[in-house]
Amino acid sequence: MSSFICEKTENCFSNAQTYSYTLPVKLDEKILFIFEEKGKLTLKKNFRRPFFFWVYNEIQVKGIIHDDRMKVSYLDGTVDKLKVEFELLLEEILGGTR
Amino acid sequence: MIYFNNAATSYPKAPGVAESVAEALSSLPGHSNRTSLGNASKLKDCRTLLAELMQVSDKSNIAYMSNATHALNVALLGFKWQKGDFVLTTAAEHNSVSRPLYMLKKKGLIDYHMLNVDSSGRVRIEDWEAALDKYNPRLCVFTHASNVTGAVNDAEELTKSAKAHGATVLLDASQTMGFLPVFPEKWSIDMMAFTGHKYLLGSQGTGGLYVSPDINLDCVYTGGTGIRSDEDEMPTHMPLRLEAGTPNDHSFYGLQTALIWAAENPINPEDVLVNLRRLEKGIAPFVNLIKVEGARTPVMAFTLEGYSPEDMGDILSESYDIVCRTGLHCAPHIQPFLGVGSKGTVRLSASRFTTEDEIDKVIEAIEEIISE
Repeated sequence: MSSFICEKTENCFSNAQTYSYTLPVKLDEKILFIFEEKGKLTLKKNFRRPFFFWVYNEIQVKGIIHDDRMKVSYLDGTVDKLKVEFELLLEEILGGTR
Repeated sequence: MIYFNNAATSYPKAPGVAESVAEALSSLPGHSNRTSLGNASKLKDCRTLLAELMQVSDKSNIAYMSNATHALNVALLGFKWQKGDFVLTTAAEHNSVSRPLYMLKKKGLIDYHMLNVDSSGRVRIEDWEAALDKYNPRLCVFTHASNVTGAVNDAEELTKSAKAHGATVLLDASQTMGFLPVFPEKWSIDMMAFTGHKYLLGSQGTGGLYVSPDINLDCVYTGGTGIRSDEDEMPTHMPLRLEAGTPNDHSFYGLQTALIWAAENPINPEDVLVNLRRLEKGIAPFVNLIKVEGARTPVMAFTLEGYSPEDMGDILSESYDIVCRTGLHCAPHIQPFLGVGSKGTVRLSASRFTTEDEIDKVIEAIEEIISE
């Protein structure tokens, strides 16, 4: 059983493959450090609530730093394969931080 | 939270609306449409106020609807189509117009042309005239104002041209009712759909359809009316002909309160637009604004280099507690004319309650977002 909750989010576009993940921990510096090791991490620390963008294997992830939620977008046509892979990675990252 | 999504639904509502809805919900229900000793008269008061606002001489020409989409469907699906009928519409329409038209076309009942709009989302009168000449439409349906850019069409002028070509006119006044004057009878509009939850400041679940006495719509919905229950046919008279089923009395009671409040506190659109222009001026150096000249509603749309509209919406809401709307705004056909990409725009829509402080906070937020 996953340690996170994943829910599909809808927007204007019928082919959107965006999911909201609620994590059991907050997205702290330790997790962001792992994100940076594995993909392209962009931090926006000047925002009122600091924000991050992470691109990993063409998967786009974003959220508020120190929040427990993030939004993950998969390219159309890749979701079946990449979502499984991403969630395994996410589980591994979360497991390593607890 | 700072609310800039009034083109979707207004917030806050007019003072007293919430209390009125709550009062109606906790009061003994009346018998809708029947004369009784109960409190059924409240609904009629709302209809009277709507008629006064629209300067409609006979309030029974206004049927209650759940929202503008409901009204537009009742008008478009209930129109007595004839083989070969053609409809002229515009690229600025909301899906509440585009999708019923698409469905009617798919069923083989009509064909239609979606007229190009200018780069602000407004219909050019010369294009309108040319299309009327070319297509000889039986019905013209268009929005009074773009829900994406706020550009207002000259509904009276477009109607005049359409009527001169023998077309019936259906106006979508969702974005203007309560903000700008809308006079269907005076402007010779045959049908006009509106919603109660945007600039009329009522609750969701309210709206209406004005139908001129010259138009006889087929009933899209049939069912209980509370009167003439011994007949198989729906009553022939308006508004009941279009009001099958138990009405949303509670919400219309709230809308009535909003209408009374607005009559006592008349809106000056210019006051609201001053704020909007201040916002535009403040963010113009940082974003790609959709420029709108002339008549408009307090709506503006933009894109921003380096961020998709969706990202921008997430940042504004999550980092800055600013509620906006992003994407296509349910008006997908207008996007190419605005010179924006396939992901649409960020839309900010103010209301009469928007403050200068809120405007400043949005400007500061956008400046901060682009500063890194």
